[in-house]
Amino acid sequence: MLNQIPISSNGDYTYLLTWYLLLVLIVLIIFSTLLSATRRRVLVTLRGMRTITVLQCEKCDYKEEREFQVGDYVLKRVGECAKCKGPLYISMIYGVPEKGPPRPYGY
Amino acid sequence: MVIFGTGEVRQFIPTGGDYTYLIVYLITLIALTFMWLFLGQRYQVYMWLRDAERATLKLEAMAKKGKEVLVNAIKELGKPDKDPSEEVEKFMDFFVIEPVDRDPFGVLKRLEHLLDVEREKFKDVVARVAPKANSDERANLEASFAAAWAVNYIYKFVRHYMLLGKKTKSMIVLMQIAYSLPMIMRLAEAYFNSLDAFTKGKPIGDSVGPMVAAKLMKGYPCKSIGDEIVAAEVPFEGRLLVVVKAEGPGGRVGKPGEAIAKLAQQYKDRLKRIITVDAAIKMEGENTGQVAEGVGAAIGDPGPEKYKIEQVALELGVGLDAVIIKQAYEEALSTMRKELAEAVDRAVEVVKKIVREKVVEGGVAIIAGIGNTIGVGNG
Ligand SMILES: [Zn+2]
Repeated sequence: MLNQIPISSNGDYTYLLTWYLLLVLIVLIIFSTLLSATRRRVLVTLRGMRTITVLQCEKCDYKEEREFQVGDYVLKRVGECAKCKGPLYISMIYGVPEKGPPRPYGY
Repeated sequence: MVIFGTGEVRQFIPTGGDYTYLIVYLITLIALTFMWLFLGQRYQVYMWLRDAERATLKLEAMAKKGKEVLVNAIKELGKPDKDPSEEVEKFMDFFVIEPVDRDPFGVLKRLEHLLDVEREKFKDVVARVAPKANSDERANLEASFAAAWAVNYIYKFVRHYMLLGKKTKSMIVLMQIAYSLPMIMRLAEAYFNSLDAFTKGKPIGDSVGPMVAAKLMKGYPCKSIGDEIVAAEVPFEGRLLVVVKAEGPGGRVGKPGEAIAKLAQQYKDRLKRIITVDAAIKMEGENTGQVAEGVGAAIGDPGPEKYKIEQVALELGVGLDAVIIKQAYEEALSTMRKELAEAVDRAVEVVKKIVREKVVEGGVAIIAGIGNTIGVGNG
């Protein structure tokens, strides 16, 4: 019965075992590096933000967008409308995540 | 080579063969299986430890950068005579001991007292390091201090468990910290990203509540009523809205519960409804900026302020309505997203709808925009 198993009784199969061990090791290494690589990507992500200030006229429907400046706040009066000279105020300030891949941070 | 004994077993083994290689093969297989069993566990521990170490490294960098951002903001806004780094570093070890709750009687009063003292402590340290900053800038710096402290605390927390796991080789310690890391890192990143908004005075996701109040009180005179809260009387379709929010545009939260209780007593003859508007943490899968309507006091404080609102509502027998604007944790702490800024107008409409339905003409409703009012003016 055992004779049918392709294990030779006089051939040398040591090399087969060595290959088997090596293969297991290689698979292990590849697997672990893949695993840790994906984990690292989860850990290191920080996105930059662009902040936009929206100006609106109180009298007409004039609307303007510009970059946020320090000192801006919602409902602050900022100059006058370019269309009707009415008072202009900040109606909202919001952040837009920067496009492109998340920038790595740290080490 | 003979491996088995004599007798019946022998008949299964063919005679005349050399089975050395078969035996070597089997032994290797068994050895490998055992190696896998025991080394696999070791390897798992090693992986967890490596994840924790890596996170600690990243958190260390974030904590350092956070302090740097804070120090730069202090230098810019407060123009201090000496370098604030030392004071900032010292403040990072600040802690608050929660009141004992084994005897729960009066625990909210004691908690409130502790929170007051904590707030005072923040004010003191900011006044010390940034004497030339104005009141709004100081409020922003207080919030920045809190954010930098939080990042630093998370760093120390993760480092503690990483080192503990390394020292004791305890699987349970390392497993817990490794599997909690995705949540912890999200939290740390949220606090870290909030520093940009806090130091520059940009509105954050949590500012939606005060922004709803500000939009309602726009164009009407508002006055400070103490506890860092402002209020305005806004006539609306034959009703009177008393709109309340923290004093902007600095990063203040105020004590809205105290203010609502005070105003409710003041208007108690005609008061019909108390409506609180706040940001709420959405569930995964829900949309950012979704406006929902419910019942109760929408306020995320540790307890005292919420208690006061519920108490006064019960005492006067007025209904409590809650309007929430949903957002993720990290969105609540970082610069306000566009979806949230746009949701404010929808929330204003929901508040108006509630007033129309629940407050008869001639009645009064108190509307409170709860949250940090950073970057939002007073209307
Ligand atoms: Zn105009």
